[in-house]
Amino acid sequence: MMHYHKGWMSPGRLGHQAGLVIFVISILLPLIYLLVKTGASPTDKWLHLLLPQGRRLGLLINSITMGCIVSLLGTGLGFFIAALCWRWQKGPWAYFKWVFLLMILVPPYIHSLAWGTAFNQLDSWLLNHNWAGISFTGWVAASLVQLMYLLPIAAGIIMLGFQSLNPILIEAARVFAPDKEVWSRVILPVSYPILKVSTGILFLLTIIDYSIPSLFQVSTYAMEIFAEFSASNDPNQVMALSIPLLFITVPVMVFTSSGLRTVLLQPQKFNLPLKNIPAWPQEWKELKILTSLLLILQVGLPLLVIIKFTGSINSFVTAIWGSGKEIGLSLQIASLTALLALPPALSAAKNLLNKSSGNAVWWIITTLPLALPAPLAGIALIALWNHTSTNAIYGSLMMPVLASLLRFMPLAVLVLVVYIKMINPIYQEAGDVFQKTELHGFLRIFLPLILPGLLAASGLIFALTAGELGATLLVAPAGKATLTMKIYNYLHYGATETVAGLCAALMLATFLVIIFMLWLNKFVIRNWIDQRGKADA
Amino acid sequence: MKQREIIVITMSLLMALLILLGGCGQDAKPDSSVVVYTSVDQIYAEPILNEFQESSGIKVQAIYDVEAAKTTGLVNRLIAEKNNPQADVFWNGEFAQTILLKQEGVLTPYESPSAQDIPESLIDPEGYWAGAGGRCRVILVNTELMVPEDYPDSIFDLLDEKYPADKIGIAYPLFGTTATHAAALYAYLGPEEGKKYFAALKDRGVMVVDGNSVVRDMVADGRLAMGLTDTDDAVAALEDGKPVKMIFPDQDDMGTLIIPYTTGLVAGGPNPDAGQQLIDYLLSKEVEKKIFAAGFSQVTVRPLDIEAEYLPDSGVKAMQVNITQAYEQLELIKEELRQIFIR
Repeated sequence: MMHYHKGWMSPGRLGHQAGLVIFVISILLPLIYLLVKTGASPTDKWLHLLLPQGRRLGLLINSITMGCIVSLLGTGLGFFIAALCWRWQKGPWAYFKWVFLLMILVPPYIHSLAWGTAFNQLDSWLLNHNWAGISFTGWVAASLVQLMYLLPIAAGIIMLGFQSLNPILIEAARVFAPDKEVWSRVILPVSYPILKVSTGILFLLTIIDYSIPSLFQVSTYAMEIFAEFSASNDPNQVMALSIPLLFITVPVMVFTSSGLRTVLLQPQKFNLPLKNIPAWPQEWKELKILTSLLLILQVGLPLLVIIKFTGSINSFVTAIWGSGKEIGLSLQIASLTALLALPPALSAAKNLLNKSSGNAVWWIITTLPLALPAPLAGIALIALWNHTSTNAIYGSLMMPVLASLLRFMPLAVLVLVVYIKMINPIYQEAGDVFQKTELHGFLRIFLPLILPGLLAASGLIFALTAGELGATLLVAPAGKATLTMKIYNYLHYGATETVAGLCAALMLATFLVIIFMLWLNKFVIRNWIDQRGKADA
Repeated sequence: MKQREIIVITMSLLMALLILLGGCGQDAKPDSSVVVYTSVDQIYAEPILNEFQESSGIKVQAIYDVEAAKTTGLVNRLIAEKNNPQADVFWNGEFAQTILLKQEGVLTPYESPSAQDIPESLIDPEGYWAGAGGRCRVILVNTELMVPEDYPDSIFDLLDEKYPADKIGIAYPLFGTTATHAAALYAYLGPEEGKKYFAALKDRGVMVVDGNSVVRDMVADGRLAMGLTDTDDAVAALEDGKPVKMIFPDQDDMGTLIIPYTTGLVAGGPNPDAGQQLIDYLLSKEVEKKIFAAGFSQVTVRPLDIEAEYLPDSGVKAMQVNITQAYEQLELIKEELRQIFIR
């Protein structure tokens, strides 16, 4: 275990504490304030909601089942997709990889529409050929669409894990064993921590979602929470109803980050790149075909829907032209959130790894927002910030940023916990000995080692913030709207061509941001590190 | 510490500070502005609000609700903001949530001169809200999947065994105008009969989907043969050239439910005068005409010289149900129908 304590008043310690304070203020204060302001008290109704029974228990089981199906299948398929994409380092396929990851920005409704239409066509074709038709509804349909929607997150996380594999280990294994053995006996076991992270995140994102299950007639606990809020308009009751989700999310978060081994996985961003990525074994040819097909369908079907409904370049340009403000606002909020989340999330992640600081309590604090329905997060922020003395913040863009920080920062913490655990303590200890100052050690040792984790965490937060709706709607400044708000508004109207155009615009804008970040990473940061290395040498 | 590190840290801090300041900064407010929260679709509401802005010189700052928020959006925001209101006007696409806001103490009475020729049944006796421009609850049928002689003419036809249940759709009757429709049926038929109707729909296996727009899309692209939705959704599909037809149900019996849009002035809002002006505008004949022409409403609450493209020649027989009585059923339907539909 690494040591983070250098003394009570050291700059590192102060920075860590400051990050921790910001983390707690961002996620805990709104919830505490909401409880105080609404005068929550454990009434009979409260207690009744806390312990799901009968119909509610059934719904909770539905949610857990859906979470298990999607997270396990998603991580399994994500592993193979990541393996496929790993080899695409250059050329057009390298860009296709990013298009696939950007599919997370496509609203769930477009995925539902795409898969629903495809199965509808298939149904008609089967019936025309006198075969039994298929009904695309229920558990299979809901799980499939949810899986397809979240697959880019799973594959993205696992891909980053692959980038962090120790190349010496892989290349040594390739000397002694065929690639199939390298995959099954080295890469797969070594990737286990990342697979756990992917499983945990997919599970958590699935159990708090009601939109896709409800489209396919599957009732879940998240839907019950929304129905309760809609019926009672009482945040207290909603909070009580959300507590059972907390009993699930805390163990999932703990499981996800527990038992991770160090040394084998090491962030390698600025060290030795893996020259020869192991080939896909011949024995797995069928799996490769299946994975490729799935990848093409995951990207192709929604893109076809988007292209078909956008209609023409003119429609696309019109959609973008009319939504410049919303695109700009969405990118600004997502970038701000991704940036601001990192320091507090890093402090919180370090804190969770520090066994002496009341670990169980910290896990609950960190996990609490994940059990919180999006509108309740918005209501909590209104309760905290809507006062005449804080109008400057309440009426500003900081509110949607705070909403996304509240909702998604725990996921960034989870990613960072894993990446910190993956750092070889020898590097850190060597840094402790040779660093000139604590800051020097942080910038030269810790930061480069944790950089892939920071990129993964900020990427995840950026994507989730860009698509956030429930909390943003409640705290967006008057007269301003994000692209997601506009997309959902037009979706209701049925302006499918505008919605498709806006989805394409969101993807394109994010794609350009990613290209810019890659360029920045390649030419600026790396040049700087190289120059530093030469100077130090 | 090396000079380069100092530069990088200083630049990072400056950048973070600039972004923070950019995020915290608010637009300079003009001399006169009004903040409106609306659940009327942006595509219909925005042109109306822009025209108000141009004609009055009052800057309009709007927040638009979305169907996906399932009635947990702007209404809860207004309730949460009650002690330090940010909005001046609530412009609602239906009436139940407006009455709820009155009960919650979010609204303040304002008797708009524009409401003088609006029927009394669409004005709150205490002046907290008033309504205009009605949408109807209609059955949308896919004309490629059904022949005219089989078209349903009553909402009770959705229970008829001759129509396959998996080709019929409704939105969850717990949210939005479908909940309002359920409350109206409870008020009209009595709670027992109302509950029986929805239980029968569920038992038949009718498809219950995420919203009225989803019903429309599924009928329009042939995944459903028919579904219950709002006229604005149906008109959007018709305008889009989809193979659909709008049926105004129960014209020989209880009539079709008509849901007006409503407006209310927020108590303690920052711009009460501008808020009143906006309400006057939204309730005016001019706006009722415009919103009718745009396709949001299909029924006017007062005689207006306009041509109704999608209405039956004989007009629409309205379901005779008192708005307040329908609202009073809302809590019951949400509790009972939740037991039926979410399980």
